[in-house]
Amino acid sequence: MERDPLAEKLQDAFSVPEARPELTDRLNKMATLTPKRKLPLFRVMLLGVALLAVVGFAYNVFFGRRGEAAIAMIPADATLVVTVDLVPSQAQIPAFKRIADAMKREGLDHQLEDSAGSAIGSTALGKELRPYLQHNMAFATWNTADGKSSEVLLLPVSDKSQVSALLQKHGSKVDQSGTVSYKIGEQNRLMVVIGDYLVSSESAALLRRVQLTHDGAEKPVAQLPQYIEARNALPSDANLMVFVSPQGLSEAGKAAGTQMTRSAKWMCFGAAIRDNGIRIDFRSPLEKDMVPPAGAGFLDPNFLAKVPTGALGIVAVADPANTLEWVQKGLGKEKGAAEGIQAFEKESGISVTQDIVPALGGDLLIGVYPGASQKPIDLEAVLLVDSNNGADPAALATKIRTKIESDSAKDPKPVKFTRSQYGGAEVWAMDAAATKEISDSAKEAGMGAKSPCLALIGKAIIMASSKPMMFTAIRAYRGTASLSTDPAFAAMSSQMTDRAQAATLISIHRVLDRMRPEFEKSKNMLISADDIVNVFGGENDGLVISGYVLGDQMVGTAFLPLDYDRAAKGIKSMSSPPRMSDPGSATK
Amino acid sequence: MERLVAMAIAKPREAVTPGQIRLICLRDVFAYAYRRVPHLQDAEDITAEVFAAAVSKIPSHVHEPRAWLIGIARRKVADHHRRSGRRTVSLSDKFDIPVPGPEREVEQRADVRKLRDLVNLLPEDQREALLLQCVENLSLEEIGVVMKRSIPSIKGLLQRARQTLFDQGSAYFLEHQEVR
Repeated sequence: MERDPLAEKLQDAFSVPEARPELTDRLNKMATLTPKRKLPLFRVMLLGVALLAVVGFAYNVFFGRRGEAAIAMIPADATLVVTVDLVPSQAQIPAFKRIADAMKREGLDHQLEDSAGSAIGSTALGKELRPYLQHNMAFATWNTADGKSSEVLLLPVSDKSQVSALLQKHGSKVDQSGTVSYKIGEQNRLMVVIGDYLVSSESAALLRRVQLTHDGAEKPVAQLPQYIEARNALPSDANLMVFVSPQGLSEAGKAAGTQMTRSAKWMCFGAAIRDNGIRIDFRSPLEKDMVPPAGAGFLDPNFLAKVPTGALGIVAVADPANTLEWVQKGLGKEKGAAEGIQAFEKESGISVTQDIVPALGGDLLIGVYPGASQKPIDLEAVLLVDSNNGADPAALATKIRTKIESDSAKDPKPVKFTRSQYGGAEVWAMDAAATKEISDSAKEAGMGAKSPCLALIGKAIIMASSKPMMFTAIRAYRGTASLSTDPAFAAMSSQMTDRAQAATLISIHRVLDRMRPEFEKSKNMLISADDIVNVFGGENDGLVISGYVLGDQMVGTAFLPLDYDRAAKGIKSMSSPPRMSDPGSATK
Repeated sequence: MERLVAMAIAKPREAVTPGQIRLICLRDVFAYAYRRVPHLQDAEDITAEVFAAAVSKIPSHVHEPRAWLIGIARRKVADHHRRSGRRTVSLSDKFDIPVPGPEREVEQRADVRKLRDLVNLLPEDQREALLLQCVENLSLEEIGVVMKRSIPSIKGLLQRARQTLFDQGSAYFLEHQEVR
């Protein structure tokens, strides 16, 4: 084909990233919900169905998500459902292989097998059952009227007749309305094989209900539309899933002393193994009275460009005024809260609705940075409140400063602020005496000199723990060396939800690296300082938590980077006795 | 995956399966939408809508599966812009620009932005035809399916698009003579 230089140039200019795995998951789920087309020949259709049945059965037995599949046997009124599926999806195979290799190398595979064995009992039955159990499970609980709870555990088995025979051999028969289970030894635990699962509970009545659900006589959790909605919010290959029913949430709320009404939605949590760490998804219905008004702002996509590069971590909240109103709404229901707010307003002369809320409509960012001394304890901090969405934090800051000055005017040591200019910003700091006092206290605590100050840049404000930090922050706000040019944070931000309202990004590597000298001093450790510093990923990885409110639900994701090889070494070192002091065996 | 996409493209006159639709959606439809809407989430939503629309009624034979799906995506993008109150479709400005090294980064970003601005200035039909050909890699026949026009008409549009681009960006193309 003839070369087209314009096309090449345009392709460069309009290159796009690959579709994210979330979109692949979404289309896969849609594909499963789409009715299949009718095939033209009845015979072909029959053949296809038979083939699918065989393949499906084989897949289900050897590779399937049988922990999740067990939800079809759990009666619909369960309050908590937990599933574990440790059979990897296609995309997870490399990560699972790395984990398996690392565990084998460190000899942890035997420990895992042993702990799995002890979970099912170290009795003769437990040992004999172990070969038939797989890497999946489901667990569900029900709250009973007397405030107690009963639970059921479902373990898929590879040979149900062998497992049934073992139960008969080791247990004594208990018949509950036709469901025959076996009481094992002196324990109160009953076991029965239902479908392809070994089902265990202390309640014979509950085992009977699982049997009825399996037989189609009771509705399972799997058929509840609200559960299906919650399930669809999690990745299709989540390895751990936790679901809490509206009733479960309500009862948990009561136990915590709140009486708020929940929506009819299920809460869900999922964790999935990924190549470089663990991805967590979370979705929770909000109390009906706490649903924020529509139109709450999202974080400015360029929020990293407003604070300096080199952070250890950053917390960002969009439109904190909205959150404040939301919290105030919730507090309004608490006894004495309104009086408390009134007292605060009277004492401070600051109105929550007229001063604080208009000040906090933009983005609020808090960044933590290494101090100049490089000691782990020496940290600097920057707080920025910008003027997005017409917010005016500068007006509030000025009001607070004036109030402090006027209130302290009659004191023997009145508080005074000094004003200076830097980079087009108005910088306010406490007078020299107060600054020295703060700085001396900081030094006594092992930190470097601190001189808290505030800058007004237009309507935005920046607070910093020291003047050098403030100057760096002002330069970053003006576009020089901001966090958006920091490779670690630029990479981390790609793990955030698209429209986050709140986010926390932490470079665990940088935090641990500051403690490296301490790790290197510990000569009795079985893991090197380098392994500790890099266990949660390398220089460009970090913990990312982000979320937003979607209608009446809170949606969140988190990504915890993990170097599986180093993590296995860490687990091994924790489970081994500490090395005796040996001057020649410094960490390598 | 590449092989399956290639198969889907190489057999345009056969019945298309949901699996092929999914692959084309993930690669071509998503890329098409991503270039035309401001947010990644919107591009994903449009891709999902196209997938849902396509698999809900797959024609017995599709002549050009990729063009058929991009045609649906084109309508969905237009609906999206209509809903968000934008009458004209301008190109999204959030592309991952490949650059060889940090020293030339600033210069090349400005350069690429200039080219995108020039493309944005083209009349909508000319711009669409040019991008479908040069960026989405569609054949004249496929572009005709997407834009519901005859091949001679598409050829005319493409000629005018290139001419307008070179005229309006004479300074740019003077610096980049290799493109002409």
